Amino acid sequence: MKLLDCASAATESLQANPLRSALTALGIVIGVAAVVAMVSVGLGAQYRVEQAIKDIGANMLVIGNGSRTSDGRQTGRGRYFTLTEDDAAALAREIPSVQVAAGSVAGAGRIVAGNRNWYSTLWGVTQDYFIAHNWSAAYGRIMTQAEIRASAKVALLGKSVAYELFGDRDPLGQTVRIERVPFTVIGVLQSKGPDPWLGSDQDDLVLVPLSTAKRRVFGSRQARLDLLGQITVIVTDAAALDATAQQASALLRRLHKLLDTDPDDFFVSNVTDALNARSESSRVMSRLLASIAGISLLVGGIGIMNIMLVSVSERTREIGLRIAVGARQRDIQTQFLFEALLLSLLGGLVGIGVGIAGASIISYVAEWPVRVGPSAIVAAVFFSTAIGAFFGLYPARKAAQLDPIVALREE
Amino acid sequence: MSKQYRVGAQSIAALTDFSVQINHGEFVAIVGPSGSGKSTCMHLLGCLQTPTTGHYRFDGQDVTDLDNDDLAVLRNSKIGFVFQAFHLQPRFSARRNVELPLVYADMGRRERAERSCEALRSVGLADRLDHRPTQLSGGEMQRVAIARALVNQPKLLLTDEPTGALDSRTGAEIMSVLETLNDQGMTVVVVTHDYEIASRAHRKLHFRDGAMIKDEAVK
Repeated sequence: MKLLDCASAATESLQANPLRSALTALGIVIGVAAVVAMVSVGLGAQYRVEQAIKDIGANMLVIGNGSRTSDGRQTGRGRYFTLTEDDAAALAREIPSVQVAAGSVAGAGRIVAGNRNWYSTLWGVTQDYFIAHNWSAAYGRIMTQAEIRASAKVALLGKSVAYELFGDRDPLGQTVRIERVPFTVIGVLQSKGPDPWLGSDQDDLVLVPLSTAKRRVFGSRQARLDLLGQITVIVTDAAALDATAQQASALLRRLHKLLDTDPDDFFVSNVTDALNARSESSRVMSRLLASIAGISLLVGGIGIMNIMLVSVSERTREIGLRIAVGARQRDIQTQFLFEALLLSLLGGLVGIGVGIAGASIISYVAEWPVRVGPSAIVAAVFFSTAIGAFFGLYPARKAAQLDPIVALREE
Repeated sequence: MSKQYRVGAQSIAALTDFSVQINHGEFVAIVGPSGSGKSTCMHLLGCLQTPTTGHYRFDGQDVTDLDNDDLAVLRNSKIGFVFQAFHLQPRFSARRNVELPLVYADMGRRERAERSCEALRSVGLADRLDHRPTQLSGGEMQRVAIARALVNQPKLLLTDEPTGALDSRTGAEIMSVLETLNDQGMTVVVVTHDYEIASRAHRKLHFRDGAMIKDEAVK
C-alpha cells in the first residue's frame, strides 16, 4: 500500500466520524496549547532575567559603603562614606580578575530646562561607569576624560528625562540647571526600558562627571572630595566572581586599615550571582510548568488510544476484508497508525495556535513577558506526533494481528 | 490436508484428512450443512489459513509454509473473494469498493479507476459506478462484490454462500453471472449449503461432520 493511499484512507476514516475525531483531537489541542503557553511563559521569565543580566553588564560586583556604629546606634548601609577613588584605582590595579572598577556617587535633584522641570536620580560617573553599567549615548556623546578631570558642567540625560524636559525637541547643546547649576547637555543615553524586576524606569536618570557631581552638586553633603558612593566592579570571568569578591574585601580592609576585630566598613554585593540564581529558579519553574502541561498532553494521548481501540473493534469486518483482499499486516498497521498520527498532528497544529493565543492573553492580562520561541513550537509538534505514534501503535498492532477469518465472521 | 484448531490445551479437528484437486477452468461447489467443515475448506483453498497437516499447492506453488504477509500477497494477486454478507465499505462508492484490492497491489490511481470501471461494467453495473452500497439493491451489492473479486484478474474466484443473503430470483441471477465467468475460463468455487445452487456447478464436493464424503461430477 502506498503512503498516499494510507494517508487518504486515514483521512476518510476520520471524516466518517467528524465529531468523534474532533473531540479526540481536542485532547491533544489542549495538551499542546498548555505546553506552548507554559513554555512561552517560562521562556519569557528566563528572557527577563537574561535581559537583566545583559543590562547590568557581564559579571558585576557592587561595592557600597558600610554602616558605622556610634554609641551603639548603627547607621544604615551606605550612610558612612569610606570608599574612595583610590580604592577604586587599587581594585583595578591589584586584582587581576577585575576588568573595570568604576566609582560613582548618586543622589537626586531637580533639573530645570526652560519652563519645565523634573526630579530625577543624578549619578556622578567616570568613563568606566559606562562600560560597567552598559550605558552608551543613543545620540550625542559621552563625557571625555578631560571633561571629567576639569569638572566640566556637561550632562547626559536618560531618555525619559530628555523627554520630560524637552519633549520631541533636540536636547543636544541645550542648557539644563541641575540643583541650580547650569549644565550643557552633550548626549542622550541609549534606552534600557523598565527594570525587569522592579518595573521602575531605568531611563529616568542623569549622568554627570564624577568630579563635577561632587564639587558642584553634592559638594556640601560630603566631607571629602575623593569619597565614592559605590564602586561597580566588572570581573573578567563569571567563575571568578566569588574569588574576586573575597580579594576585593581583603584589599579594602587593608586599605581602610581595619583591625581583624573590626567589622567591614563596606559591603560587597554579588549582583550577577543573585541574578543567575533567579535565572536558575525561573528555568526550574518553566520546566515545572511545562511538565504539568505535558501531563495534559499525555491524557490527550490516552484519549487517542481509547478512540483508536474503539475504532478497531468497530471496524473489525473492514479490517478482515482488507486482509482477505491482500492487505499485509504492515498495511493495516500503517493505516491505523496514520489515523492516530493525523489526529495528534492536527490537534498539535491547532494547539500551537491556541497556545500562542493563550500566551498572548497571559502576557496581556498578567503583564508577564511571554516569548513564543520556535523551540516551543518544534517541541509541541514533536511531542504531539510522538504521542500519536506511541498511543496509536498498540491499537494499530491489534488491528494488524486480527485473524481475517474471525474478523470476517464478526457481525 | 487437515486442519485442527487448538482450544486451550485441546486440539479440535475442524476438517479431517482430505485430498482434492481442482483444475483451471472448473466450476466446483462445496456443499454441506453448517459445521460440516466446508468453510474451513474454503479458508484453506482461499489461503486465508494454512493446513495443519498435508500440503496445498496453488497455481503450481506450494503455499503450505508461507507466512501471513506472503499469503496476503498471493490472495491479492490470484484469488478473488465473494462473501455472503458482501463486505462492502458503506462509506465508499461502488468504484472505490472495487478498487480496494488494487490499492494493496500498489497500483496508481488512474489505472485503478480504469480497472474498477471495467470490472463493474463486466458485471453489468456500468451505470452504478458512484453509487454507495446503501443506494444499491442486494443483487447489485453482490455484483459489486464480484467486480471487486475480479478486478485483480485472479486465477480463482472463491465465493462463500454468494446467494445466501439474496432472494431466490436474485440468487439465480448471481449464479448466472458466475456461470458466465466460468464460461469465459475463470475457475469458480462456490461454497453453499443449498443443494439446488450447488447443482449448477460442474462438480460437487460434499462435506459432513468435518470430512469430505463425496466428490461428485454433475452431468
